[in-house]
Amino acid sequence: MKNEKFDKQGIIKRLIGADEDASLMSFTPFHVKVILVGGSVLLLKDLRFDATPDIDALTLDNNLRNIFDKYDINDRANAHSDGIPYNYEDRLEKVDITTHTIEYYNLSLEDLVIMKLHSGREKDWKDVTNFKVVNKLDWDLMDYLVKNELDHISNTNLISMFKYNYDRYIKEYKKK
Amino acid sequence: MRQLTFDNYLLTYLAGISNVQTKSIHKLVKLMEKHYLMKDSLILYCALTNNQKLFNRYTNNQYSHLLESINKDNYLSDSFNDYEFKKIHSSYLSRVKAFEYDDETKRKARDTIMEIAKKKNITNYRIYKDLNLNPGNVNDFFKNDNPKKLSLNTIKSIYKYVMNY
Repeated sequence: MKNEKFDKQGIIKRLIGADEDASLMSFTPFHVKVILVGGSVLLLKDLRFDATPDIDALTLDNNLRNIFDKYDINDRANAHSDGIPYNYEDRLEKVDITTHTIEYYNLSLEDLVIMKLHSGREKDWKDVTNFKVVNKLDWDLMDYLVKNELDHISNTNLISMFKYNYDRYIKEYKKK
Repeated sequence: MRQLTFDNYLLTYLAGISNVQTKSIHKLVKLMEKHYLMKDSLILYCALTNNQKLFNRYTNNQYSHLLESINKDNYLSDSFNDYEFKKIHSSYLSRVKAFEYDDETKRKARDTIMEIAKKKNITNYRIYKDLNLNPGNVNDFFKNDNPKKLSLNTIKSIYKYVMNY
C-alpha cells in the first residue's frame, strides 16, 4: 500500500502538473482562470493540514476536462456557488505558484466561510469552526458581505439554513 | 500491472488523510476522532469490506443504520448525496484512469507539436536526433498517432524543443 499524504505540497504539485499539461494544448499561449474553493483553499492558506485528495473549483474549461480529471480537480462545487457573495471576484487571491497557462485563485476566506455556512453538512461546520479559520476571519467584512452581497439568493431553504448557521457561528465563535 | 481495487484505494485514501497506514478498524476509528475528513471514507470502507460489526462496536452503533443501507451496488446512488461517496469514487477514477487521461493529453499535444514543427520546418529526424530519442517510437507517435510510444514527460521535452527551436 503506497502512502501518499494529502497535503499542501501535494495540492501544489497537482496544480502545477495540470498547468504543465495544459500548456501542451496549444501553440499560441492561452490563459485559463481557475477559482479554487473548498478544503484545498484552507490547505493553501495554511489553515489546516489534513485534506482529501480532490481539489474543488468553480466552473472549469471543458477543453481541459481530461487534464482536470487526471489531477482530481473538479467543479462539483459549482452547484453550491449560489452561497457565495456575488462580488467574490473582487476579493480573489492569486495562488502563489508560477504557472504558464492556468492562473489559480483562492476564494477569499470570508467568501469561503459564507459559502460553507450555506451547507448543512457537519464537515463544513467543522471546517469553518477550526480555530485557525475563526482567528483569521475579518468579521467586519463578513458582516458587510452577509448584509450586502447575498440578496441574489432566492432559495428560501438555503436562506434559512444560512441564517441559522450564521447566527450560531457568530454566537459561538465571534468573541472567542 | 494489477489494477488498484476500490477497496484498496479506500485504504490509501484513509492513509492519505491521516498519514497512518493501517487496516485495523479500531485504529482507523481512533484516527477518525482526530481527522473528521476520514468519516465518510471509513464508513464506505467498512460497508464494502464486511467490517460493519467492528465499526459499529467501536462507534457505539452511531452509524449502524447507514452502514446497513450501503452496498457495492448502491453507494453511488443519490440517496447518499449527503455523504462524499461520489467524490471519493471520482478520486479513485482519477487515479486508475490517469493513463487514459494522459493519452488524450498526448494526442492533443501531438497536434500542437506537429503544428509548430510544420511552421518551423522541423523534421521528426531532427527531433529524435537532437533529443536522443528512439526513432521508431517518435515516428509511431507522430505518424501513427500512437500515444503509448512516448511518455508525457518525453512529449513535454519535445514540446519545449520545438517551441525554442
